[in-house]
Amino acid sequence: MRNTIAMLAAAGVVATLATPLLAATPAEEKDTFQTYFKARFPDVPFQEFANGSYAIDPIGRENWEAIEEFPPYETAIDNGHEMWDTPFANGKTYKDCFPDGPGIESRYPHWDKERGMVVTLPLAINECREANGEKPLKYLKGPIGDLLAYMAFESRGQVIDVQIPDDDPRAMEAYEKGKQVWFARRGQFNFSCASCHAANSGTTLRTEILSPALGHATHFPVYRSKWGEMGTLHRRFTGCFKQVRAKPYKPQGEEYRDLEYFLTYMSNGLELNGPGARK
Amino acid sequence: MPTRRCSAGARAVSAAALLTLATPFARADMPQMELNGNAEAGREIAMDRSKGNCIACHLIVGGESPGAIGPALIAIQPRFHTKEAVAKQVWDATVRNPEAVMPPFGKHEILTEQEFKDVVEFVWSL
Amino acid sequence: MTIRRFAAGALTAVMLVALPITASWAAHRTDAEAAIATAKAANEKAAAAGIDTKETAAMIEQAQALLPARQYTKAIDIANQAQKEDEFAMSQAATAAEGQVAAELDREDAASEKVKAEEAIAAAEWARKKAASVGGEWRDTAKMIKDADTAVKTGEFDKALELATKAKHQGELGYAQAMAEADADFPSYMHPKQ
Repeated sequence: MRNTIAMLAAAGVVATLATPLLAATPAEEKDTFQTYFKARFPDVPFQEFANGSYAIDPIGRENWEAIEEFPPYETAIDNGHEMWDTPFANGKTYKDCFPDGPGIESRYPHWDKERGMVVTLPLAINECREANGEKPLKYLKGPIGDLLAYMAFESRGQVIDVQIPDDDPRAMEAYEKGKQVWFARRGQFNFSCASCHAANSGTTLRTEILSPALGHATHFPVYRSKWGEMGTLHRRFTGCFKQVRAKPYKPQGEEYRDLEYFLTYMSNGLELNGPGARK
Repeated sequence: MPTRRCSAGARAVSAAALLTLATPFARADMPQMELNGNAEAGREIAMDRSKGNCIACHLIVGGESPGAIGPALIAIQPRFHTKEAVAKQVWDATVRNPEAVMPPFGKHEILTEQEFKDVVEFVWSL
Repeated sequence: MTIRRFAAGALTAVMLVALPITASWAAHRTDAEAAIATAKAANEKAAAAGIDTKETAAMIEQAQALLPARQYTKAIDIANQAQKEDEFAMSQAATAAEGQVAAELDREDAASEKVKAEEAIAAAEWARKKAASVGGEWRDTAKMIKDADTAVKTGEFDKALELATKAKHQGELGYAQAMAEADADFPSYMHPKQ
């Protein structure tokens, strides 16, 4: 009898796996996502998720708070400020592309109906540069990290509110694609993002605490001690892909932009708190 | 997680899971092999970051800074009953549990055949 | 008839019988001719095998010349010597020829090993591209193929074949994985508990 029950239960699990969350809207999925993490970490106040593992690792948090007294990303913010103020060769500045100033991070990523694609802030920055005869910046590290650090700093406190417009099914498609990237197993190690950052968030991989995915999109660019410099969200994607022995997608290519779209949407309601400092 | 009892039920579960996840790729099934590896060599592999790196997720007695993602690797024989069961788990853990996070060390050729046998021998001894 | 005449006759009779039987120590013309014939055959064979047979041919002629003088033993000796030398030279040449054939075979083997490795590399690259086409390429596949290529260039065909085979498996596994994960979605453990 117990065997049969076990069999049926297992079959049920397998069946549930095979069918996606039936007819769930992105809003419902976001609720499911956030509820899961709140249940997993009941003592963490909602906004604290923006601090990643420092929300759940008391010792790590102590070290992190000490670091935050003299943040390692301060130089980046200053450099970024200078970049923002420095005119291009043609005399124009970033303000001409972004008239509302640097504090606009919460507008990204967004669905661009005209172009039928997800637009991220780094992408918009480079498009601004190219429109003004400047060479685009590299997307993983270097000066773009500085400019983003400045803009993130100026955007602190803004609430993430990614929209998936109803009047364009392609936006929904981009969201679904991003979701698939996040949940798909990949690489020789067969890990999905969920393997570490949902299923095993809060547990230790050797001595590293795996951070929960809720809040991942709030604090980039990040000064990572391991990198010894600033890095962007797509740099972190790239690193994770390599760690699971998958070949990374192209930085700011369609896959990573869609992934950013999904991931940021999942953190709707959290306040931006970039740039961040991490181990 | 409740202790699994070796039973026809457990085997049936594996079969059901296998069917659902059936890929056309032949290597999904562990090939016939003599499980006659070297446990000491297996220990090295289990602790080596670039090889099995079992210690990253599993507590292993004698290992340093173990992770706590998977269950501790102790009392293996009463839990798995046969060396072959251990081998199958290391080959591809998703057969037994489709949501298993453990990499398919055999199926994905993360370890060579000899390394695989050695690590199985080591785990079997725990 | 006197005893003397009888003894002489008996002696002659005995000698006529005994001598031929016991004369094997004394070479006959036929033996000498046979020896020379065999030596000549060996000599021709050696010449045909491209061996320099001037010396041995001269020796055979010498043996031949001894026949009228009935120096059969000496003729046999010389003929035998010539034959021995020709046969030795032939055996030496055969070993060398075998060596050449073996070397040829080795070269052919190597050529076929190289072809095998190159075919495996092509198959691996195809498998890699297939995986890439569905976003399922693994991290190390391209490098493995590159390393296999390098191994071919340095003649390490076994190594090249091994690497290429591993890379092909990675491509196949990556493709199957991506296809299996095409509908990846919220897992059961994230569903709200009922």
